Amino acid sequence: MVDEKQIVKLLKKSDWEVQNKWFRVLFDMYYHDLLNFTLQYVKSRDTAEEIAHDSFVKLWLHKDNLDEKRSVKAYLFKISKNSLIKEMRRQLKNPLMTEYFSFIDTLSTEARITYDYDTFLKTIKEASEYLTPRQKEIFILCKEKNLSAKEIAIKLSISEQVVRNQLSKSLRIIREHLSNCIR
Amino acid sequence: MKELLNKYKANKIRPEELEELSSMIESTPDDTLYDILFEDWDSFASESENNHKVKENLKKKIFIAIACAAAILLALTLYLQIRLHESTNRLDVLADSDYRISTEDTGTMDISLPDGTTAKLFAKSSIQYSADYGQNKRMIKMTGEGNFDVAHNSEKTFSVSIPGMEIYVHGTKFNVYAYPDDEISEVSLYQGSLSISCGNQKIRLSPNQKVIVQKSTGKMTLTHFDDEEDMSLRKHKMVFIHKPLLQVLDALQARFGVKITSSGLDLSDFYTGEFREPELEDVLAVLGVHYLFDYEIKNGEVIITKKAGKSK
Repeated sequence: MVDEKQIVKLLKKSDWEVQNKWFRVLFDMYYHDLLNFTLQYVKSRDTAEEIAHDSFVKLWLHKDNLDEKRSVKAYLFKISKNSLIKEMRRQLKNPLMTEYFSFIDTLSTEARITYDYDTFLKTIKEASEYLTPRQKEIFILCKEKNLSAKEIAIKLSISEQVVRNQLSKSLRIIREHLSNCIR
Repeated sequence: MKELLNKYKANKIRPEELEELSSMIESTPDDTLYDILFEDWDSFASESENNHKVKENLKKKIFIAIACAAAILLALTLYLQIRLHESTNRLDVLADSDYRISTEDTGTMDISLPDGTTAKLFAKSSIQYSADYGQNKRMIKMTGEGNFDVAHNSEKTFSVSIPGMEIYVHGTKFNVYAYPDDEISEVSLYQGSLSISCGNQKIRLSPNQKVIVQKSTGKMTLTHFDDEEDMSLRKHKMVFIHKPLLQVLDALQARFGVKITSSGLDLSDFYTGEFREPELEDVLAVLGVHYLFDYEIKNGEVIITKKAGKSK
């Protein structure tokens, strides 16, 4: 194993080029782990990359205050945990998550790894072009703005039943499009 | 909860389980989540074991390199080559992706493109260009309405493509109107020169000319426009000079992204007027006085009803 303590020491007091080099070593050691770890929870590659990048930026900015007795790995978690948990909570409340999981369930194990939430969202966006404007409106209110059928009914001054019918129609169209996409 | 969380992580969670997990997480304080996640992170090791060994070798190599100047040079070249390779790869990846800028149902947006071209996008409009914009050619796709001020570059023609039509320009100022739900598309030129190709027809515009295309027939009409009226688009003003009320209402719909329904009004009546920095309600109020109507704005819909018992 590389002696991490030494790296941290070198990071703290040396000239810029040396710091840069050793920071790069730390980056190579942990970046992919942090990214993949975060991705498991937030499901969106873009968000995971953002969190991982931010963490390393902060690590660089705070390199002078690092304590070589503590592991860099633990420190990286400490930096990233707040955004990680915030994003995870957000995703768990996201009504499209159910759709995402049930769709991803139909994929092969291989495709499952690369097919993240962003890709899914993009496909949904494409699919929603096949909806009528009204269906699209209802779909967005329900799945993106997270409103209930009742709230949508009041907002659009139509009956709840109409909302439910349109919604299930939209879902059918979108699911059809999704299943076409993987073929 | 951990079991559910593991299923969630592995993307193998059923809808009802997801709901359960969601409500569990919601009632779990951050501190507890930190502990759970930290434990997971602590034991998290993907391909990292192998990575560390590679890094160890790398470290030794670096020390040898410090001792040997020639090796440094070699390493540097190698590094540069890898970096160069990486960055060209990245460029290629980027070049395949498109940028898309869209405006909401209301309001306008000022944008600048990488070559210094600026544009004002009106409501419900979007433009799209690839990441290699400006490298070989300057090409954008658009729908809706946009007002362009193109940076001059005689080698790289700037082109706008809208459904059924291509517009080629050099440094110029012009306006494109191409909403998918409108019967007509319009291109107006303020400065410079511009040519349009639509199917096999080609038209060249000079300043203060505009071309109107009837989408259903493909018929193109070239007209001269009044400076005041069309230039007003760029100044935020709305100017109507002897326009049927129907067109006035259409313009309001496009500008404010609302749907207007009216009853009992003579829509062929002509209106002349000017609004500086108009707000929807102000315009409606003024028109209401003219044409004696009441209006109601609800959920982005405007309902206009003629006042009863009076006539103009």
